[in-house]
Amino acid sequence: MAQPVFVVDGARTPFLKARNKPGPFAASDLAVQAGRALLLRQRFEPTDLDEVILGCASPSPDEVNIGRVVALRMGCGKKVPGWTVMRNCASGMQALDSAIANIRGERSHLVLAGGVDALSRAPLLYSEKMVLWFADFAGAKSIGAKAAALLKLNPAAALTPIIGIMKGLTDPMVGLLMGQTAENVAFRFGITRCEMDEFSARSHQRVLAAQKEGRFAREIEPLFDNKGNLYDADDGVREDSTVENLAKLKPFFDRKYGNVTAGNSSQITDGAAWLVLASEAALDKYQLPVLGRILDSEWAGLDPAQMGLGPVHAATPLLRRHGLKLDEIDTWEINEAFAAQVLGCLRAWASDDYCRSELGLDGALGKLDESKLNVDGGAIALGHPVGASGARIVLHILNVLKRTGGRRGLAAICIGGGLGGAMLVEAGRA
Amino acid sequence: MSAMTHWTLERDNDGIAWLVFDKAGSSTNTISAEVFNELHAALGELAASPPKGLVIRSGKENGFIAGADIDQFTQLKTVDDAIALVKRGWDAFNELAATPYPTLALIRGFCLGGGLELALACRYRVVVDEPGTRLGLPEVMLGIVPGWGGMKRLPRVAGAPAALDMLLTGRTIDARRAKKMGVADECVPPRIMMNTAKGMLLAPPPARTLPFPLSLTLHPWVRPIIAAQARKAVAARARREHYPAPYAILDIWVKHDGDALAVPASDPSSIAKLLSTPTALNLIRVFKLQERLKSFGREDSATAAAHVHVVGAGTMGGDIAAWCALRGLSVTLQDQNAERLKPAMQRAAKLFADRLKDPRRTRDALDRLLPETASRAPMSSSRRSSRTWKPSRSSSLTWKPRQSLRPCSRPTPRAFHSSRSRRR
Repeated sequence: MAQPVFVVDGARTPFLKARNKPGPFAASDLAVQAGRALLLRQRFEPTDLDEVILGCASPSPDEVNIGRVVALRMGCGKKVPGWTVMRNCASGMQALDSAIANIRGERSHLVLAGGVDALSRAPLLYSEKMVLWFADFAGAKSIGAKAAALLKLNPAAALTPIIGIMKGLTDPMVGLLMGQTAENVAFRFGITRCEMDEFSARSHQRVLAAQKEGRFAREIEPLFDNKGNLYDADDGVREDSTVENLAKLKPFFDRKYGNVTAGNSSQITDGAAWLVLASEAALDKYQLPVLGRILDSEWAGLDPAQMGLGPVHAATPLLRRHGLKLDEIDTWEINEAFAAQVLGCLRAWASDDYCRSELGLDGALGKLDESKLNVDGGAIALGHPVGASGARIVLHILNVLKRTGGRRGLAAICIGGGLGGAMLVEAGRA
Repeated sequence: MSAMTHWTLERDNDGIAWLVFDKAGSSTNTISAEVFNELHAALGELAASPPKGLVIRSGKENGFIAGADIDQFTQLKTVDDAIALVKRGWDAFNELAATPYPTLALIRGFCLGGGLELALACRYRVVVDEPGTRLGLPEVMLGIVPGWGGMKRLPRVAGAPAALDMLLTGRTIDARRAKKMGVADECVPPRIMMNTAKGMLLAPPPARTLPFPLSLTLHPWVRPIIAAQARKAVAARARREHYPAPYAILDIWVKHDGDALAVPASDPSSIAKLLSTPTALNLIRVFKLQERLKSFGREDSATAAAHVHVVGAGTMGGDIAAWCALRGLSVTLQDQNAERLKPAMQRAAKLFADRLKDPRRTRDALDRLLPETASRAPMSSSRRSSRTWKPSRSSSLTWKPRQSLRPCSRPTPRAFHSSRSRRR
């Protein structure tokens, strides 16, 4: 087994729900504010880092290599390489995995890795028709030609931008919205609207309980904007997200007759999460404390139209490689892209048929104890800033293990495009 | 080449002469009688075989020209000495302005007082787009007037309103503003400053003219109206008997087109009268004390600190923190809870935006200022452990702000504590 990689510390921003307009922070602002506070409390200098790796699904055009931008902004100095990784919803987990690979390969010993997205700032795009019109207009030399081009302008095309985030949340291979792939999973396993809403209401309740007990406070760094506003808590969670209220929402993706609503889906959110990863040599050199270890990770591919089952395909080989059963994991985080999709993962593991045909097992892997799953709620209540979520669940699962005295944790995430990612972690150093 | 100690004159293969000011025995270029004599000699040499053009630039790293040598003023014994001092500069810069070949001042870093007057006597000015480039005529702050042509030439390039603002307040402008106001012909990054200087002289563009409305402000009929407006603003700040210099500047501009030597000795705006009040000498003394204070800052190792931790985000603590971040230090600003930090962060954001203007520099200053709360309970446990760590901060500092100034730790003498109780 490859040598473990140590998690020294971690921090994230509050997750801020997109409210139909660009949020107060750019993606780089989020990553910088959480990252500089995290670095400040370390025993090493930011310039001691070997590299900074940031996952981001949609950096804005002025921060394309956002990993480098934020490394410089956090004071890591010009000599620390910063780079960006992209694996859609698992970009943050990919950043951790890239750090792990470089630490195991001994190219790096001390890495800041994480994820970020400011989905509220997703761009509006011109349609292809408008792009061609702009090209014609720019090419028109004489005033007459310009006037002719102006006459050809289609006001409807000009005033109907393409919403960038809808493009991003549509699978380019099968043409389905992510919510429609969740409908597929629900259909396959017969998951009802009521089950989805119950799961979602529970997510809200668990987040509220965790907030009340201050369980997120140890991982959240508050944000200040330039107008003197403070953001110190995840703001998407709602007291009134009860089963009764959630039942009133209309299906969003398959209109009218579907089951997946905005209420039983993850929220569109801005946020960032970081972890400090270190080799054993770096632990000794800087005498670093240890939050936990990342033992192993796994990536898997599956039908893009069923992408929500990605966690099953990534976590199963991971468990088998370590000879672990479902109930030998003390705490689970499966990112809540959709209630239907998390419930689908549980059904898939419990299904003889699915485990045999899709995973090549002899029979069902078993029943996952839901009291160990997403114990402090998940993306349905907290939101899913896609690039950040993979890093957040790894950080949070380590914090849960520390709090509960548990040993093993497994964090898994479904990925648009038909992928799954999973990481196996253990608490403490030994 | 003649033997000059403060200037070097060279001609390149394209026939451009480069006159480099590098004052001997001084880290900063200031203009003295000797400097004028050598400038006169250099111009004489160039007159003998005129170059295609002349570039004047600084040989110092720290800037172009800081202005006149201040010690000259304090050593003046008689009114005649003072008049001779003004006449020397007035004549020298008129000689420079009258050369038949094009002249250009290449300005990087500070360009103040006599330095700007020299630059204004050139046909073109190229400013280097760096934060350190500052142009201004701060004479008024010393209680004297820019008598070497600044009062005459600045309004001609910038128009009277903007020029009077600079003349009467002593305010300096940066490179971009200089270009925008017309004080500079080009504003370029350092990488092309030499090419720009040379290129402009090899193919001299027509001299800039003021836009028509601004040119009206120089008309003899309009000047008194503009001066009357400016006088009101001046009067709102200080009375003539206490602070005669700005009044004198207005009079000299309106009545004598900026020629201080043309003022009759009996006139309250004359050089003789200006120097007969203690204002100028006292202001010069204040200036020198300020310079001395600044030099303490340069010597003190505290200014080499990379990080400052400020306890207390009240008006004073918050603004100290913001100022440190503005000046390039990394800063943590701590208070009991985040609510107390909000107004400080808001003021800091405004300060950075107002001062730095450039959005990237504003962002960088904000990134350097990190608000911290002491009372986030679940976090404090991990932070408490962090306090027991030995500081790893490996800078050459004599103090370790990050770890040693944590809450509850013993205050270090260098910590900036702002006392809330003293705020009324």
